Amino acid sequence: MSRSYNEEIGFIEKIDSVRYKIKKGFVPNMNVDGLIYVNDSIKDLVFEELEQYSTRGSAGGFLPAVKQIANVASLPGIVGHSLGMPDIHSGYGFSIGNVAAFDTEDPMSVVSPGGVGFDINCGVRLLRTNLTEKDINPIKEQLCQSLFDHIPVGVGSKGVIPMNAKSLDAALELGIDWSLGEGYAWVEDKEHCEEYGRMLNADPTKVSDRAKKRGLPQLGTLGAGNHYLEVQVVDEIFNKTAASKMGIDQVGQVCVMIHSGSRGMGHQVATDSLTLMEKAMARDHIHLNDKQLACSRINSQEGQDYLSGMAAAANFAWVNRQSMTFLARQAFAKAFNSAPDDLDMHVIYDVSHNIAKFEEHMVDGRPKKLLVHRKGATRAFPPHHPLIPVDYQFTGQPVLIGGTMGTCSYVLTGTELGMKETFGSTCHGAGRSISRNKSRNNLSYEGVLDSLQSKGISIRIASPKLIMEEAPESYKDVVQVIETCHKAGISQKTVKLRPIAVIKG
Amino acid sequence: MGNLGQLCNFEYLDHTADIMFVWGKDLKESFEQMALAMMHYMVELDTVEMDDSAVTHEIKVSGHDMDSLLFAYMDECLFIFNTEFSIFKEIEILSIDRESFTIEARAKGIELDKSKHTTGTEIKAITYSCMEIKEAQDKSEVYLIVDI
Repeated sequence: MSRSYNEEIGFIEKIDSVRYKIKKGFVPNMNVDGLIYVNDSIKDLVFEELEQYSTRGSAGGFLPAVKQIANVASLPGIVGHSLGMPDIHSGYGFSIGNVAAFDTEDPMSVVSPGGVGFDINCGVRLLRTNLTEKDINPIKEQLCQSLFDHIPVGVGSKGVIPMNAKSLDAALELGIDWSLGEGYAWVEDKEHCEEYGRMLNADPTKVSDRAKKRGLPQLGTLGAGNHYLEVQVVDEIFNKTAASKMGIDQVGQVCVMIHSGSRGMGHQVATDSLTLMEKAMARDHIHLNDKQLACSRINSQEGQDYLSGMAAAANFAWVNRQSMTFLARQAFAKAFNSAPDDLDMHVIYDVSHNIAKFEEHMVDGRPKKLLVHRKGATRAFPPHHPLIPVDYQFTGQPVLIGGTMGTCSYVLTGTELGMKETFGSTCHGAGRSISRNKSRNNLSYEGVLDSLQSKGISIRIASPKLIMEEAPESYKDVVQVIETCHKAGISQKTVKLRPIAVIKG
Repeated sequence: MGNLGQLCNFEYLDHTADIMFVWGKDLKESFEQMALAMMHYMVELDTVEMDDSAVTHEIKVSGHDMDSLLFAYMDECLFIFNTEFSIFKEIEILSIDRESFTIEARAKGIELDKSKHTTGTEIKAITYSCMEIKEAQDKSEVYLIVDI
């Protein structure tokens, strides 16, 4: 199929200043339309990708994000729209920033590991403190170093939380309840996690020994790439009432953000199931627009096994973020010679931005149980939703959006409109705009460090290459991503956070 | 660039994902280069010195076609790195069986020591995305994308 760029964009209709519809016919067999959210200042990135594709062809099978959104719209059982958040970019099968929901009453409906991503339950956690920037400044460098020493980061790092095969199985089954039992969590922590930090359908026997072996040494490690722990300060409060429910009451207040996932455990669960499903698809003669969309019927053995294994990996991710929360609390306690609860280091919230979950949504005026895939997208439930904690019943679910090294992060809240339009979902971060290789070649190590220093940001990073790869220039402008979601009404700005210390792989 | 040892025929291509491109006189050589190119992504091989502490790893993997064979071979190398923290700087493919789609290889690895070795980027998984295995009379080229 080769169309000119003009023919291609004929299938994309602008609805308003932040919404574009991808109409059926853009790729074969679309069951529903696609819908993407971008404003004028970030739309070019999305359209340029498509233009390159239509002039140069798909080099080695590379597909632009809009084509991937449309291919997902062709999967069996999909309802509503195949949705693209403002931070979309091309990914494996599904683009990153894609939300897709499948009707569980339809026997043809599928689950796809590509719709979750390799880093199962990658997510963001935010802790508050009762400290202000003034308290941190005199010891910022020492605190930064101490966090770096407490938390294992980078390629090949090993966890410090004692773990053996038996306790690993317990952690996979129990999620944050395991951390509670072992003394790494506070009871209140659990209340402020999506799913209360534990997916009940987790089954450790559906996780291969290979995945367990990869996960075992990595529990309580941050990882590398875009993962980080940041000390941040409140820069701006947009919604005072919602912020105060989260325990944020002043500009300058110090918070800690942790962005990490299920480490090698989740990566291997995803790899194993993709390999199995690829074989099963050949057996079941499932033909798709793109081989990378490997999937299985929700009710098939492969589908059920994946969901049980995915849930176990998700539990591992909560234990992982919880273990680092424990270590961060220790580092702060030592630095300020004060107990973590005296520093009020409570979890504000913990979100998952790579996950598939069974949820109830209204479709064509009636409630339906759907399997919602969020890949690089965050759940954003509105006020009064039964699945959000009692503390946030009147504000809506806190949504945590990590910026990039040196740029701001945000706390948003979910809305009713988002519930109707995006299955209660919004963006997850800035989204890469250029390759790691290009960043390494075009940016200088000193240049990036100087720029961070001029913004008053301390940094500890295990790999020198990551300085360039993770520089803000390599990403889309997070401010425009957030503005698009706010304008569209699928989430609302509540708090803006500015980094003052960054710990990375 | 410093001493990369056996790794010589490779390039990291510009792409929002991370494409590794390697070549060799035959498939055996390009597959060897691919494993080392992945190692070099995670740990800069010029900071890794081969010495008496090197551990030999015997690798045997199978697939159901050439693509899945390459996938299984790379997944195994990544698995060994992630579980034994062994960085391969030398690898020899002993045989590629095109009937049963099986590879046997022997790799020599040094255990990661962060005080000596410069680490790079973590690799989450091997993918089939843009995977391409090209073979000609006296040249072979392979493209592979890893998930970072």
